[in-house]
Amino acid sequence: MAYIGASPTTSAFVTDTFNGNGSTVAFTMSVAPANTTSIIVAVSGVLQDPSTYSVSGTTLTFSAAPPSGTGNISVRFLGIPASGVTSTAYRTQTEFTATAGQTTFSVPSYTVGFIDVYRNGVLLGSADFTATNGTTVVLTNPASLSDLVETVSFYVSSVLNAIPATNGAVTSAYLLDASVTQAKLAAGVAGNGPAFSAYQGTSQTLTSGIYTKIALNTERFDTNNNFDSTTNYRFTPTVAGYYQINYEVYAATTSTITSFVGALYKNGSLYEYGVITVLNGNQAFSNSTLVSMNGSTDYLELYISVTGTGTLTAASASGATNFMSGCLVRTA
Amino acid sequence: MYDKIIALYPQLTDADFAPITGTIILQNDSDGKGDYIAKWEHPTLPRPTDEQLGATE
Repeated sequence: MAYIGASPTTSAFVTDTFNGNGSTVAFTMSVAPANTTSIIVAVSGVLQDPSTYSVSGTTLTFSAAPPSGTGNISVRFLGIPASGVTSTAYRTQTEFTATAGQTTFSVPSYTVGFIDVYRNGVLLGSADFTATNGTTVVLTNPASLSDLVETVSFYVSSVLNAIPATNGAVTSAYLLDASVTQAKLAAGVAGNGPAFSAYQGTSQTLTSGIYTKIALNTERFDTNNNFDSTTNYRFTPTVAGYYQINYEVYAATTSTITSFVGALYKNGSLYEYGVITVLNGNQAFSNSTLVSMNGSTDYLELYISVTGTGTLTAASASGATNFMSGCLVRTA
Repeated sequence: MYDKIIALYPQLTDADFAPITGTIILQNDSDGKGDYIAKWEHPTLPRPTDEQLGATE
């Protein structure tokens, strides 16, 4: 037959054959199809609508028992995987020129039940040969000298074990836990854990000697909505791990500051701090640290304590002072 | 709060309220509830009650 363009490529479909007995409704197939539309089922040569049967794993179940008959039930599997076929032969044809009386022919490995045998071009019935070990075919009647014996064997596979080739269809479920290594990451790929930056948008009047929470009421960014800039002015990450935290506190006075403390509080208690004593005018303290957070209840706040005279103020400077920022650098 | 405590205990000094090293920590959580005693570990003076602090007003 002539074709416009490349000649079509044909391939064989794996087929199961069963014997009906008028009562059995369930048959075990050699391959587990994806669903009822992944197979073509015929009974006594009549194509069956997929609604008349169901599949579960390798079990084919008819809604009504097929009639009695030898090999009258045919199941043809569709959708042999297209990926990876370059290294796997799904159909292997082998020809032999027989010697006089030869009965045994060694063929490439085959799946039992998936081999056809021809003798001088005539397809042999199942009673005319034995092919049960996956490596040889034994003719029932010995071949004559120069008989052409041909075998066609099929490799059986299932599309159920194939990874979908559709873009975006492969989920993390296909990956073994903890199997992605650093080397598999592209250059420039960073984690997407929580990150935030918040600062004091309004100056606060301080009372000498009182630890006062800095009201970090303005956010530059808060990628995971873990910073509360309206009520408690605290960072409560919802991802457990180790967080790089940076902060600065700043106090101004109209007179004198004699002691100054900038403190990071964790869960309401002093966690880390810096102290400056014997001072005069305005003071600032900045620090950075790594803090382990449990990802649920742990939280961080910023406090300042100033001892001095005059009007003491935790002075806002539009984010240039009295701020806290941080991000997840390693999960727990 | 500081003034109330000093009124109750005139013998307290700045050292008692010193940041970090003091035995008394007064705190304000910027929640509108005002100052409160966050820590009272003075070796001899008892922590003042709310009634005592209220009476100093």
